Amino acid sequence: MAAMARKLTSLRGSQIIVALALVFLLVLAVMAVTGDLMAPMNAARQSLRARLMPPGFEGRQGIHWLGTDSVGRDILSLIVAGARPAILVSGFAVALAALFGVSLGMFAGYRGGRMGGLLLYITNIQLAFPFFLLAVTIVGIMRPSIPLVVFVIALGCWVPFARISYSETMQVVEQEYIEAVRVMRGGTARILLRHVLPNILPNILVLATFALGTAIVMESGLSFVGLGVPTKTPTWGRMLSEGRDYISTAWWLTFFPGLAIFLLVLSINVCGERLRDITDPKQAGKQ
Amino acid sequence: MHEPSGNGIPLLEIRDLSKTYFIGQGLFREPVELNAVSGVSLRLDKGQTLGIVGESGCGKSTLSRMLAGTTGATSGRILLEGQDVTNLPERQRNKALQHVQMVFQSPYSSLNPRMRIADIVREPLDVHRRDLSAKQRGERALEMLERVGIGKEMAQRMPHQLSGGQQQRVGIARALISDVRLVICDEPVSALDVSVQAQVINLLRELQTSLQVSYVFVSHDLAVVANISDLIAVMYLGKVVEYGRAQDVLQSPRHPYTQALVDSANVPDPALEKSRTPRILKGEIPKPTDPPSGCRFRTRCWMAQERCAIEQPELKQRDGSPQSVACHFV
Repeated sequence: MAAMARKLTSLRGSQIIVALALVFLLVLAVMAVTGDLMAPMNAARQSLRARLMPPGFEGRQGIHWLGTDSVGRDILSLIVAGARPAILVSGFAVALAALFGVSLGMFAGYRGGRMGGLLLYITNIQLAFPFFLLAVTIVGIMRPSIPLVVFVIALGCWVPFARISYSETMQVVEQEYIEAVRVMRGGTARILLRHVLPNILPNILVLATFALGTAIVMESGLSFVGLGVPTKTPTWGRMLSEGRDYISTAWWLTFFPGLAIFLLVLSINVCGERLRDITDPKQAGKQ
Repeated sequence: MHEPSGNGIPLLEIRDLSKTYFIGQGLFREPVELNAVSGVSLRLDKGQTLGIVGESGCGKSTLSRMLAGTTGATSGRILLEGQDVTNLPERQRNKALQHVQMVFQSPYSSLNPRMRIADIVREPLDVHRRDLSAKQRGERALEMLERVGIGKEMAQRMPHQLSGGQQQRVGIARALISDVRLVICDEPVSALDVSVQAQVINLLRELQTSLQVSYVFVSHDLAVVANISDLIAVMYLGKVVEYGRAQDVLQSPRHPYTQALVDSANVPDPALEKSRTPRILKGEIPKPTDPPSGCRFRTRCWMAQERCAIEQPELKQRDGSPQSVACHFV
């Protein structure tokens, strides 16, 4: 009885966490779409008189709930404005990585043999490069731009997609329902798109959420070293690097953008795990 | 060669069909030859059932996959209604083989777990009958499901919501929905409960009568094969050792291996069961990568003599037997 009650409450608790994460993601998604419309103040407006003010300081534009940065910009507004590059850039990067990795992995898994060996070989080469070295080299040589940053982050996260879809495809292709399609003389496209893809998609989706978390951290990292998306106002990663010099005197400069990154990645991972449980057809209907 | 009843071109004719796998290929290793099926010749008429029996590893699954066209033959011919399908170019081969379908061993894993029952059954029409509208194809799928005893209310369910017997019915509906003439049944009931086995076999029979399809029925269970087959071929290590009409093979088995198989089947009468002394085969089936010389069965045969190690017995009618037997001493 007690064990059951505990299970129930813990279930309730996990559901609340998932709900909170979803709400947070939704708010960020709206911010990403509307951009600085949602910001309480003009994020780009500087004020030398109001620089490095702590959270709650009332300035000429109103109350700075999260304080101001070293040139007097409102930190809350900067975080809102920074949601777009954080979410859109990493979102596109993950989509690109998934598209590339899954197509490659499915094809190699279907063909098997040498194709599979070749794929594993390529992924090993990719993994042998430290991502940051590669990213800094590529972005450093070419000029930073949004497509380039998207491409570089995609380069940093496609490998798990390829590997997972490769091994999953190999398992699915062994099943008798694939042989049934072969017997009815269905083509490769039918086998891969109608039978293999729907069966590996749940795992890919879960992987995508985790990759999104990684991509956001990568994007922040690139911004931190000054190789991120060129924007008018700083992205979250750049806010971190700009605030670093004041970390001992004005903690809010780094704390709030860091918290934003942390909460975003956490929410995505919480939702991803939930998604994994839901999409298993045998799990559906239980609970 | 035994001639089944009926004249003219048989629905299926197999001539000297062989499949050799090369296993363990490596950079420094010689590949090992595995003769999964060697020199099999059989024929089957329209509306009839050919049962193929043998223990696991005898090549019956490889044979059924060659017939279904998912595995290529190393040599020999498969003729469907007189047309050789072994060496056709891809397109014509697909066209010729669209009349061959298959029912699989595992009812659950032969259905895509993420598709609805109605969509699974409709799929052969999606491939072959693009001339029908999607709606017509869906209606035909529902009709076919009705015919195998799955009502409309179940058509929108997922495979895991069905019982094993229902799943196998769905597999049968999928095999029979398009214009099919030959169905390869690969151990279709061995994963089912005995009570459900009989239902599924009866369903297959009913559909055979109404649709005039032929079956190649593969199983390790002689009792099941006996129940449905007109012709029976007994396989051992890739070769057919006895082939003929079902009643001849079952009632007066000539080959020692067939005799042992028939003996090992259960007798329903307990008194008779007690009094009889069934011949039980000793030893394991030899490795197919290294089959015995001469007759492949000689290592487990109680009649084996010197001649058996040297001379491979031919599959032919012997001593006025109605069926063909591959043994020197019949």
